[in-house]
Amino acid sequence: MALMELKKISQVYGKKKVLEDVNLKLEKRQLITVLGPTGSGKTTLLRIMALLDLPWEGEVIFMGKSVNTKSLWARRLIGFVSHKPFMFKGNVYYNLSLPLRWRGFKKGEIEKKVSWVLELLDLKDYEQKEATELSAGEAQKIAIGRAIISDPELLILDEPTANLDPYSTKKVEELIRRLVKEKGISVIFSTHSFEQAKRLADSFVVLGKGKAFPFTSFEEAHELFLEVLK
Amino acid sequence: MQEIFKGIIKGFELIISLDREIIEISWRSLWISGLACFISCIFCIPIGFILYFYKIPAKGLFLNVIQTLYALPTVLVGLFLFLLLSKEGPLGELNLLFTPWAMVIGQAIIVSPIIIGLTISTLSNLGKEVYETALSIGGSEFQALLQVLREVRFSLISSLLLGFGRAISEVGCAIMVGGNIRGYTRVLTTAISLETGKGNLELSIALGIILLAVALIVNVLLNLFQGRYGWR
Repeated sequence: MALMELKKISQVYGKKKVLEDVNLKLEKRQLITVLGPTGSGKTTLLRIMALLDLPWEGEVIFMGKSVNTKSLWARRLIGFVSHKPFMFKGNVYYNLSLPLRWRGFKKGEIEKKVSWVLELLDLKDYEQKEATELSAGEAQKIAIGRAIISDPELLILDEPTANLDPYSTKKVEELIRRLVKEKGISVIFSTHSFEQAKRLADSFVVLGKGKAFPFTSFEEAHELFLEVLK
Repeated sequence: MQEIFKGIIKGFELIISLDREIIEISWRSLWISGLACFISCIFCIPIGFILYFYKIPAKGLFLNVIQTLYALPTVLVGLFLFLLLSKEGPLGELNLLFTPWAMVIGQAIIVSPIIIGLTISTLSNLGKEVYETALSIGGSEFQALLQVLREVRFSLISSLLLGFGRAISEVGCAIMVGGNIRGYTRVLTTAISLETGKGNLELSIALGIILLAVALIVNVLLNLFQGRYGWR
């Protein structure tokens, strides 16, 4: 059974059809990248997968069940991080603990999990730092940590390194790899960078003219992407 | 010019001497306007949230009406309430006319458009971003809305201050539904109006200074609270 399946998804903004009949399957432990030029609907697709937006047409199946924006149980198994994550006012501990508090975790468990995530992120001494004062790279890492702290099945990242310097980009990429390998989380992320897609992903989805084309070979995906740009 | 100076001096004399009647009037102004703002917030902040986050028919029209009502004439509210609460009115049996409670209701109506409008304006800054972030980390809709409230709480306090300023300084409605009864419904603004009418300008100026001082103290206290407990 696929972890998530999109069936004939279409999305419309005003009169413009951004996505049309998109079909996609995501397996467990898979690392997929979504490639496409600006305005091709990458964010739109990822937001539908994160159950933040309802598609105009089509169905989202998660763990065998049809889900929508009201499916809290499914949203609690899906983590989403936007390219410019928002940090809540308060320290890093507050930001990381919030998803756990909302799920009814006890204080002791929360403290353990926050320590574990900070260690994973390589940000051990950051617990008491003001989250709104972090650098872009640190905020991105904390946002990923906040999304994974509750052990989701699927992590969706919208251009996770778009605003980062090369060093922070490398760190975030390492983190994504570790999450798939060590935690068994499925990850789907969008990027503008072919290099990054080639380095990280084992499957590719190219978006163009509203359609989605899945590939397992980077070369084929790259070729189609160049076609789309013409 | 001399009248103004005398008034200012008299104002300070009254404040320093802790004149019983002045303290009583000031306290009444404070609690009536404070309670009116509090009641208005209980209803209007959730209304602001609903208007911002949910799809409602004719939302644009509704927002335009709210913005127009920022300048709602207080005497009009007074007249409307007077008709409702007078003996022959539909709510006459409640016997609220010429009581402080009628003044609370009137002032709550006057500040409501301001609280609703400023709540929406506050939310339009980062309400959607906070709401979606909260949903994306597994919050329920209610938890996400509470998170938004937490994030914008200090901006909402500023809206409350504006509302309080409007409430404590209005006179039209307070006179019409309160009646300016000494020791019962007389507040700073109605007292100023009365004393000016009697030609007692020194006392009017003194009361005006006290009115300003009350507004200033409330403002400073809330700003101190914001500075101590959080972020602006």
